[in-house]
Amino acid sequence: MDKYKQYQTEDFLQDENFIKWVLDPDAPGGQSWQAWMKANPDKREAAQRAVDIIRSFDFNKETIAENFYVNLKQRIDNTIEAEHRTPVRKMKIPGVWLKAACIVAGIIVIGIGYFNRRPSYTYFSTPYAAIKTVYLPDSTEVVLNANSSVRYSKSRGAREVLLSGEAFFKVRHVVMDGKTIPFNIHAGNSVIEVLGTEFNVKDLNNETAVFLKKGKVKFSIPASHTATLMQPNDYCYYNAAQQKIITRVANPDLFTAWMEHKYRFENATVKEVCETLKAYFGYDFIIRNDKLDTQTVSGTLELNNEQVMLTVLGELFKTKITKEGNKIIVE
Amino acid sequence: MARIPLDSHSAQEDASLIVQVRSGDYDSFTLLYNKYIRQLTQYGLKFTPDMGAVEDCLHDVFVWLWANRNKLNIHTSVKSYLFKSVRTTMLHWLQKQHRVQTINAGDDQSYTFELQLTPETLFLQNEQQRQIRQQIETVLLTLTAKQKEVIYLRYYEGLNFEDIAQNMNLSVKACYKLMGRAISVLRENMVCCLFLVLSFKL
Repeated sequence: MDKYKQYQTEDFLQDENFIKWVLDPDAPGGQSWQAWMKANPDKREAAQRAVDIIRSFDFNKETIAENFYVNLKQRIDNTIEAEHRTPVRKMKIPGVWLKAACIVAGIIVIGIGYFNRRPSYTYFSTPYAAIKTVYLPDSTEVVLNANSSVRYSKSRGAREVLLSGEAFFKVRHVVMDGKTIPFNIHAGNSVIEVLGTEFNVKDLNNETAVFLKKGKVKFSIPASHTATLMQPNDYCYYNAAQQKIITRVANPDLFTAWMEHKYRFENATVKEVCETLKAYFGYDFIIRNDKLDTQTVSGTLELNNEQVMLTVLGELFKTKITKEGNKIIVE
Repeated sequence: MARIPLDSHSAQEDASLIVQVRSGDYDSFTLLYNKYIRQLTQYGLKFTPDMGAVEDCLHDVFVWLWANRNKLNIHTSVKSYLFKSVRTTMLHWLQKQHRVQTINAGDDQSYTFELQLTPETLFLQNEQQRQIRQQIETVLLTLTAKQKEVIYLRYYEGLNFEDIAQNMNLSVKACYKLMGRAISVLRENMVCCLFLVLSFKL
């Protein structure tokens, strides 16, 4: 290690061996550097300086919810699955044997499909703090709110959608052989049956809420045998704890403002506001003042600029709000 | 330090994962994803704060990796290869976004690489380290995107200069030179700082 005797700080900074040791001091060979530092006190300062510089290169990390990685992987899986699939062609099969062969082949294919467990559906998702408009294969338009996903598949003559989070649907009316193809949304315990219509669905913390803008939908909870037929401007929600569907007429703006990157609140409790923002940004809200929990507020929050949003939120709550990493603290 | 430890087994593990992926093993593909997706996401976000764009790019990188698993020809470490793929995809996206004529490897001005020191100051035990940190913070502002990227990949992600050079389409020599230039900027600032420390001692 004689060459190191001539080294200055910047030489150390460019030495692979040295960098390796600083980044991973416990790796094999690390002891020899420690010994060298001891044996060469005149070079120790230069080397220590290089160590300090390298250790200072610790860069800021964006906080990202684990959910993001899970959703992204699912999206990748779906794309890979979709690229594998080839369109099925209809064939006229002459003989019984051929039919039998096809059945056997079919079972094998289904078997492979089953063991690979890569389902055949269309899937879209959004990360925190992002809103996306997507089109399902039947050209239904879906605006997905942050941290939400839809899974679309067609089975037995119906369009089935699995929703988590919140989305606004503009369902396309599809007729086949004189029959309307049903469009069903499954969210939590609820099923929403649709013809052709526009509405908002939100599934959050064991509560499913639907707001109907146009048309007609049937909101039902199969497990508790309850159902209700919704009219435009109806707002219905199902609470798993109460096992009941509650209906009231509501202001459309309250439920569709998020598509313009805004949240509107009317006499909402501070707790409700915080839960809505948690679902959007993925931050944990810590309310230090218990009395604030049940206080109600009204107002509009712009979501695009987080800093501004937090300032407005502070004015709305009439209290101090600070952000610490992934937490929002409400004094 | 909140860094990713660099253990020597890691590279061997990656190489065997890639062999498995090549033979069509989807579980190994998933393992590789889980191992690197967090680091790659952070890297992608250095090019743009647009989370949606980074998500799309990462999606494309992994879909491409699987689709072309038979044709993979990796001359660097697997980690470095993934970083390169993300880099290429991000730059391609930026190019489309800003209609930049060419994002040339030799052109420093054609992209940004947003690099800030972590607000965590756990390891800053003494005054000298605090000063170094402050110096680096100011120096980072004066570095080009490329210089910052080399620093990030070399000292934070622990890729070696050969791999970084391949990733950024540089010769190894040019890579060292770039590093040297970044460091000399650092040193000029450091010397002033050293003077201050010494004069205080006197």
